[in-house]
Amino acid sequence: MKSNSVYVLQHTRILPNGVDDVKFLGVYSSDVMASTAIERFKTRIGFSQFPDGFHVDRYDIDNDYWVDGFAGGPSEADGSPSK
Amino acid sequence: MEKCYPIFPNFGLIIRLALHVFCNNNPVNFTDHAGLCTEEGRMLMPYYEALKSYPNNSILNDSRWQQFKRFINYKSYQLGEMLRFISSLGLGDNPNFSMEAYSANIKDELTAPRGGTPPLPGGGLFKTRIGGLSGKAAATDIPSWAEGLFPKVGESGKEFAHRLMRSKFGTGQYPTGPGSEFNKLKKYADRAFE
Repeated sequence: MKSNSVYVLQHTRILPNGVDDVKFLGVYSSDVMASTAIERFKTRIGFSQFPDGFHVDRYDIDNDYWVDGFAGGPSEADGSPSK
Repeated sequence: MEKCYPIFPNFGLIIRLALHVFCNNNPVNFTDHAGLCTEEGRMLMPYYEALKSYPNNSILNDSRWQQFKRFINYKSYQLGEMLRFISSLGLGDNPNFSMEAYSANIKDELTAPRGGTPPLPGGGLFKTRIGGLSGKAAATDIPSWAEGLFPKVGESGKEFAHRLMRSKFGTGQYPTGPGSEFNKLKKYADRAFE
């Protein structure tokens, strides 16, 4: 039977200016496959310097994972004047 | 003996009286047409969250009530957001509630003179929002259902995010990676509060 879950692998590091640098690395069918991918990425340039930045989340497909709207409109997000 | 107040049955009344008192006695259809109710009102939300933690029909002790009263005497608030928030709690008026039985007490509390020394934000229970930060710096792009909720004093961003997410989705049943609701809440709590 086909699984209804996937495992999303991302990598995050904090830049000197405090901004998060997020890389979306892959989607896998199991946590084992995701863990294997992490070991693979850890040997690569850049990732090897930030080995603690990997993160795996399991997602059930056909589900919303942001269930409502978001606060902080354009004026807050980018400093543009409110309309 | 410490004086106690029944609070949950009175929520609707408290809100309505507060709207009248602090919005120029004119809470037009419970919206802020006159612009009298400021963003500062969002700071009232932690009190509601704190009150929410009390079981229905329980009592609020005198200390907590004094904090609540002091705060609403000092701040005004955004009516729409407050009402949406209260509505989301499912704490509608108790049909058995008698306005007459409580109105004198609550009205006296709510119409006490304003001004004076501002209370500690959150009455010491919650952290203070850092003023002057841009939305980006304060990471304010949080889920709208969490708007107005503050981290508690001593609570890390991670703990704050877990508390809210557990409350909404159940223990552990949510992603925590970059871009997730959890992550947004964590960053918000870490960056926007002292």
